[in-house]
Amino acid sequence: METNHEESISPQGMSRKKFLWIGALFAFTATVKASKVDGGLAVIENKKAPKRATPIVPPGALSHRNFSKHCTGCQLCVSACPNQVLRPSPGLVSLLQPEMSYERGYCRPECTRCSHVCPAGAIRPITRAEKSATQIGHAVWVKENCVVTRDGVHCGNCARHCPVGAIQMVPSDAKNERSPKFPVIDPERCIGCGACENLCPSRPSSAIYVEGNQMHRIV
Amino acid sequence: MNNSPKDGLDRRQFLSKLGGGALAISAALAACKPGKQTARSAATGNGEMTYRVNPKTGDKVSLLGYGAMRWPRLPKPGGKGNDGEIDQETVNALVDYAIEHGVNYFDTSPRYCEGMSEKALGIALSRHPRNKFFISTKMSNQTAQSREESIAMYHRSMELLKVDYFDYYLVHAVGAYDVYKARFLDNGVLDFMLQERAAGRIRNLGWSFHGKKEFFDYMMFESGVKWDFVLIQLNYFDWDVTQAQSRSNVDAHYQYDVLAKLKVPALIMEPLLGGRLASPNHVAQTLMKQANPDASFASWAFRFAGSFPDVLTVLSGMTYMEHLQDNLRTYSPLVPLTDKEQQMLVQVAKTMLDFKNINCTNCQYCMPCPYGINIPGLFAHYNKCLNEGNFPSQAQDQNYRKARQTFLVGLDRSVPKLRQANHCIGCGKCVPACPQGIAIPQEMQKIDQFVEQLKRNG
Repeated sequence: METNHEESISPQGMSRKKFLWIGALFAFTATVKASKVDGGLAVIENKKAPKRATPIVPPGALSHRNFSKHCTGCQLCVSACPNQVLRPSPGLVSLLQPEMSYERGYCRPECTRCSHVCPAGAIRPITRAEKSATQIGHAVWVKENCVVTRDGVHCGNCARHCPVGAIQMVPSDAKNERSPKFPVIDPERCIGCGACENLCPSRPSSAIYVEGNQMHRIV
Repeated sequence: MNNSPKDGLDRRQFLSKLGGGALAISAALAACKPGKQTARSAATGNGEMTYRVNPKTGDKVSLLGYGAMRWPRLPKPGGKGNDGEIDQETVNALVDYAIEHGVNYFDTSPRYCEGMSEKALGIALSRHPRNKFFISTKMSNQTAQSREESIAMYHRSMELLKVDYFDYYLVHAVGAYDVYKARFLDNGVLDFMLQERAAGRIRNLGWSFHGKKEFFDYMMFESGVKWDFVLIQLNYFDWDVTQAQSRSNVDAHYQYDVLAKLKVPALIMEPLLGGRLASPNHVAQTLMKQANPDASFASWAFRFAGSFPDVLTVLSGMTYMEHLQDNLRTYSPLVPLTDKEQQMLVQVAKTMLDFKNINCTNCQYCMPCPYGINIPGLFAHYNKCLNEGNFPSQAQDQNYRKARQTFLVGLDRSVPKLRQANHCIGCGKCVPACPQGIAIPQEMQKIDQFVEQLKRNG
């Protein structure tokens, strides 16, 4: 099995093999980043909460005003939330009163837990059907964050996961049906659940986020 | 009886005598109870490893080949997973044990285990004499395709594996002409490899295949290269039934027949489909246990692949010592399948079609996903729940609640929320990388919709 190959010495004193080897090594180090290897998991950046003009409060709270008037800051709803949506607010006036944010999860359509644990009337009991028809906020699209604009890829993850079908995908180039599609939001159908914001691939800031409604609307 | 060293018997001799005595006793006992000895009672089989001879070089190759694609991994610092550095000590132990029990073929690639496989194998094998093993690696220039990058990869493999010649070297994972042309013809990399073969630094030149029949025929009949071997995917599932599945790969039956006719040795990969044939659905399990209650599920797959006489070696990516031991048992020596057993495995393959598993072999070629999805992890969980009957399909079903719970809880345990199917945006980057031709984005959406439906029906 032994293989021997002669090394011809070049006039400069460096063997041909050595010369090629160094060259190859150089080429390798120069391109080592380009060659893909198999396996591993890409690092996922944490999401950053957007600045919301009006805080989002849970379905059953009726309005931001009603919520802040009744809430005692007992944290029962925070501990009952299975989707890590409710958390104590940082503001001074509303200190310890919870608010909603969608970096870690979103307000799932089948869940009404917070409304059933609130002892203070800040979140009134609500059924699943009522929840699906309560607009607690409305989604806003941020074009410059959207991966369709930024990376030129097809996405539509927001539209695919909207539980009320409030997002429609339209071609980014009106003349080209096959161009990557942008999301278009129907605010009359949006209930503000945050599925789009939470599942948006744009990080750290989502390209679609929910702005709270001062007063919840029933559709 | 006096066995002390003073009387001329040292410790080693004493132990070997003792061992010999024990062996004689157990052999005698075994002889006393014919038929009671099961395959499982011996740690690594009852006899010698089965070897096959390479017609070109006369290499006596062990029927069990060691695939270095699935080395054991340590957790990342502070983590709990198995996604950190390769566990070199365990790799050394596995390689030592394999060589000790007759395995002499080791296969790797610059891409395996996030690019760490060759180094780990090189360290383990450098502790053994070079003439004790055959080494096989690949030109994995899928993304860095230039001549310079490819040649650098070749030399880097030599450096990492600490060798100055390769026993077997492969054109890695080709299945379509345009890809082959770009990676090996236009850039002159094939010419380079042929020169290396002529110079003796590649003793056997071959290629690994996942793809369509036309390309297989091109390589075998028109490429103008005399290939010394071909690495194909062969197992009882891919033997014939693939046609029924709109799969992009040609069935193994055809590939093997062509190779056998041309007397080109066939090397086998995915004999177990990435472990899927070791944990088949419960209907298949019943069939196999009825045929032989003592045989492991994996042993059927290895006997199937090994029963073909023109197979040189069957590669298995063994992560755990128990898997290595089980496979050594199966091939020490190989007991070829009977016709009846073959027919039973055809039935097993049919049940697999009924169960609609996703054909993922956990090869990780699709990874890392740029959006952080754990593609093979999700497919593995989905298949596992299907095969174990924990697949909640109808809300009216009796065990719906339990199955739903098992599926959802297990999902969050095996794949973190941020790496689950609902984060797949369908960019499609993974699709050309999949050797099994899985429509990954569509399968992801299928799983996503399934999970969503389960969550809502809580």
